[in-house]
Amino acid sequence: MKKLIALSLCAVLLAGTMAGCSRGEKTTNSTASSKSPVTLNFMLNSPELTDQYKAMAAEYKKVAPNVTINMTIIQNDYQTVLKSKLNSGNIPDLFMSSAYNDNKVYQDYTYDLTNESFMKNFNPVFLKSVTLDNKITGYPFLVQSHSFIYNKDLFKKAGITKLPTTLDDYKEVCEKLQAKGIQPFSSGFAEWWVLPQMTYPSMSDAYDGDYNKLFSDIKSGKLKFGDLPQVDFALDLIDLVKKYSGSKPMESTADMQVSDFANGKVAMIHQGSWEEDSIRKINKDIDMGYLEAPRMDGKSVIAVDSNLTMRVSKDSKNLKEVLSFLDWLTTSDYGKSWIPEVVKQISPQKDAASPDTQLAKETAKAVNDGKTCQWWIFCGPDGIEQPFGTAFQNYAAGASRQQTKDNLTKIFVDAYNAES
Amino acid sequence: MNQARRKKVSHALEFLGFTMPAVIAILLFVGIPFFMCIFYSLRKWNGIQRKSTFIGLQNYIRAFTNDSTFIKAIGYTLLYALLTVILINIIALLLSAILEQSNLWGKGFFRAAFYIPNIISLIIIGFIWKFIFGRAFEAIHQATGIRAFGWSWLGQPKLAVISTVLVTVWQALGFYMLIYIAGLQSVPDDVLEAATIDGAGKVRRFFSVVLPLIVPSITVCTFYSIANSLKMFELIFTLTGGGPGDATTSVALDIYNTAFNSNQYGYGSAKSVILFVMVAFITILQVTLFKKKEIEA
Amino acid sequence: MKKTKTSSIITFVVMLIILACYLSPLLLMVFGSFKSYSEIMSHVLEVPQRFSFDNFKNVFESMNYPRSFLNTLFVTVFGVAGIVVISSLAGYKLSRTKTRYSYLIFLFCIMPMMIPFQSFMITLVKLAKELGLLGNLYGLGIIYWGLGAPLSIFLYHGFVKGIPHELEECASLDGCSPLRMFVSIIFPMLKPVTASVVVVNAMWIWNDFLLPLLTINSNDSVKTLQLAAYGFMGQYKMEWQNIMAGAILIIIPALIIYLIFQKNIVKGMVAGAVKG
Repeated sequence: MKKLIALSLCAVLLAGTMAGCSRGEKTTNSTASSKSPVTLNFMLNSPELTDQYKAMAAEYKKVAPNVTINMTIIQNDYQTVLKSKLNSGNIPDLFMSSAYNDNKVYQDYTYDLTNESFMKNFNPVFLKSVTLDNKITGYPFLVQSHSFIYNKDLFKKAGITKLPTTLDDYKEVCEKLQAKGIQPFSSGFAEWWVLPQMTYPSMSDAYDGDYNKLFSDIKSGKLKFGDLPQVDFALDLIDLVKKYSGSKPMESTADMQVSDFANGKVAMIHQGSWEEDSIRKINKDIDMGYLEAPRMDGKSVIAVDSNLTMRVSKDSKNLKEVLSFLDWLTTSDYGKSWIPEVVKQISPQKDAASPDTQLAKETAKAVNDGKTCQWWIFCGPDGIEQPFGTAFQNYAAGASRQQTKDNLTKIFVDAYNAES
Repeated sequence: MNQARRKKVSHALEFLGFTMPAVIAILLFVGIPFFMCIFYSLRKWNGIQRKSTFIGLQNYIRAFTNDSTFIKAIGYTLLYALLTVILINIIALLLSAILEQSNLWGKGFFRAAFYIPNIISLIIIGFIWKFIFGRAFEAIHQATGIRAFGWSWLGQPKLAVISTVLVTVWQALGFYMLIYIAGLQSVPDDVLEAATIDGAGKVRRFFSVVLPLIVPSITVCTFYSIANSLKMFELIFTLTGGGPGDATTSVALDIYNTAFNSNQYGYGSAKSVILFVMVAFITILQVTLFKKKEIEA
Repeated sequence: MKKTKTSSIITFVVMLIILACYLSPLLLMVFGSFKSYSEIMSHVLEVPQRFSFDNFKNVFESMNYPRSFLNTLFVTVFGVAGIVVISSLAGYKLSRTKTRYSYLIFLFCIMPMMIPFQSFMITLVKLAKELGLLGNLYGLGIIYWGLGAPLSIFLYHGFVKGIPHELEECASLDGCSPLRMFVSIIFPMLKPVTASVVVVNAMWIWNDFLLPLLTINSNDSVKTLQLAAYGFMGQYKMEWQNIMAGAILIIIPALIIYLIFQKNIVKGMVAGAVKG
């Protein structure tokens, strides 16, 4: 008898605890009129922009005091956490992703922004990357560029007057730098995402830029990715950078790239416009610019695209409030100035002011001169970025060319097989 | 008749009452989720979209026939487990024996001090050793010129494997020392005295008398270290990220990459079921073998 | 006699040297926590020029240390308490009941020790959401009950073997209910292994990162220390000085818990793990 009472007591306790827990959950999301308190859950990456995100949220609070923006900002485990949230039904009202193939990946969750008035403010060039089946599935966030960034003072010191555009040019430049005791590169090879990123511009002439045909041929099996001549070129580039990256090229991480470059220890890193702020935080007087990445066809380029995309959850209970927020971000005075002046990067909106940063200015110049390429790899299948990077890392760590090419081919075959 | 039956029922209820809370908790938070994992392992799913397709055992076949990274990860994981288990157990046993068997002053102090690295989370340990292998070693190399400190401990594939083993052993030692110290303390003094009287020296005493008596500790430590090393994820994630390339990618890390970076959750689930079977098989084998030795001793 | 004394001294010195080398990485970390970022980069190995507490101040504020500390403390205490309760009950009963069912259930309980966390974490989060356990510390604690029980049941199971059956026989003769008997007679005898269970579980819950990341990362007010410290480990800048200071602030409470319990742990390990 007593055991039964004890058991039921336990059951009641447990039930009570559970009830207490679930009650805690329900207070945040209300769907009533815009005057009652609303909490929006944003999931964002790029933690180097944390201060800027916070500034934006604070400004919006002034405009819409009943709206609280709750931001989760992570990078390393972003994919894991986002997937858990999506699958557990804990879907953020707004989240970030890439453009291009992510349009398809997240299509079950994204709200169609085609008919939203504020989307007209965007430069149509940058809307292409977020359009799927004629529907605008995402809100382009930033225009970013990446290529080899160089330290103008160090180049002057080494007596380099002509900026390199071919592999041989780069080799010459490295020799000159080394002669002056300056380490040419900080490779960044320890990161699986830096290695492939370094090769994308140099491979962008594949199939003469017809990426749709390129990937449909790969998908159908007509072409093996490893057979592309650009792959050999990319491996040559990797060899070059590795040779001139000091004694431990495989240990160079992104944060080391930033600090070594900012401190003048190395003359070149392959990174992007998003780094300028971090670099200046360490050394605000550094004089830097972009070098054009070499390409087999001789046309050297900088990779420029709008890839970071904000997506609105179509099942959001606060859809109206999220859209109001995006409208504010796009049309208000603060909103329009936020990306150029606070984030200090390039905005994908029409007639947006240009940020006062060296890399942004050089990006604008490259765009004007037509010396740019798309972030074409994202037109390919989903989920290949990391294996791609690992394959290149293996090559840099000693795998053979043929092995690497076979690996690359396999990666694409597997990725297309995994698509439903 | 009735009384016997009533007794049986009350015993059963008692049994249930005591065990059900734990069983329910484990079922809810491990059993069911793992069962769902098995469910997804038979499907093609990217972890994001709302639908998934049934594909039977294709994921499993793929893992063994068409995935060199996975096979390589199994190879690395087994090597890593072998090295760490052997090193941890031998070093921990050795240090524990020195602490317990000699007339050492400050035993408690040493025991506590050696345990400190075990208190620190694996994520932080990964970052700290990353700093040490990189910046600190470089500084030592410049100061002393010793060749070993100039090597690329995290950048050279074979060295990176050793680095992961070293850091794991460093972090885990204190915990296993606790178990071994406990085991050594339970060796009855009279047995030791009898051996000393018989003229056995310290080393002989250890191997012929003490060792057989602490086989239970060895069983437990080996079991636990094998299971943990086969499942290792956090340390490798922060120390090497699985690199350079995939030289130090353990099976658990490969599963993580497949499921979350390559967006192939179904395939990743299949690989985790395979990992579970691997761990279960090896640990059950080990425990059965060791238990046999226990009876003989 | 003299021989043993000199060998003791030699052993002591040798052990001390081994210990010093063993803990030197931690010393480096302690030094680093007092240095500024540039000093860490340029004077890697040296003793800090000034023992500045700036990093600790920064970290304390940006981690919202008092709040995060209380959150972590709550989850740990709540989690460990639950684990002790359900594991001691189950471990005791499973050990005493020598039937086939009991053995099977015991195997079921310890099998999770072989399952890698990544394999079921997403489905676990999904289930947790259904049960309303997400986004709050109670829910996290309850999930820990299920995750920590396997090892703890294993330890209790082994330890109980060493408790003479006579105790229970006496108690049942006295007309004691099984639960009463457990609480007043058996459980107090389990103190050593309970100490081990408390410490082992407290350590990993205190340091756990992945599960809190998935379940309570949304709200700053419920973050645990590990989550709060994560902010210093960015992709582009590793704020080593903050990482080290943060690590120390997280380790110190855990160290204190360990030091308090350490005497009892050994006894618990003796019977629990050894005889298991």
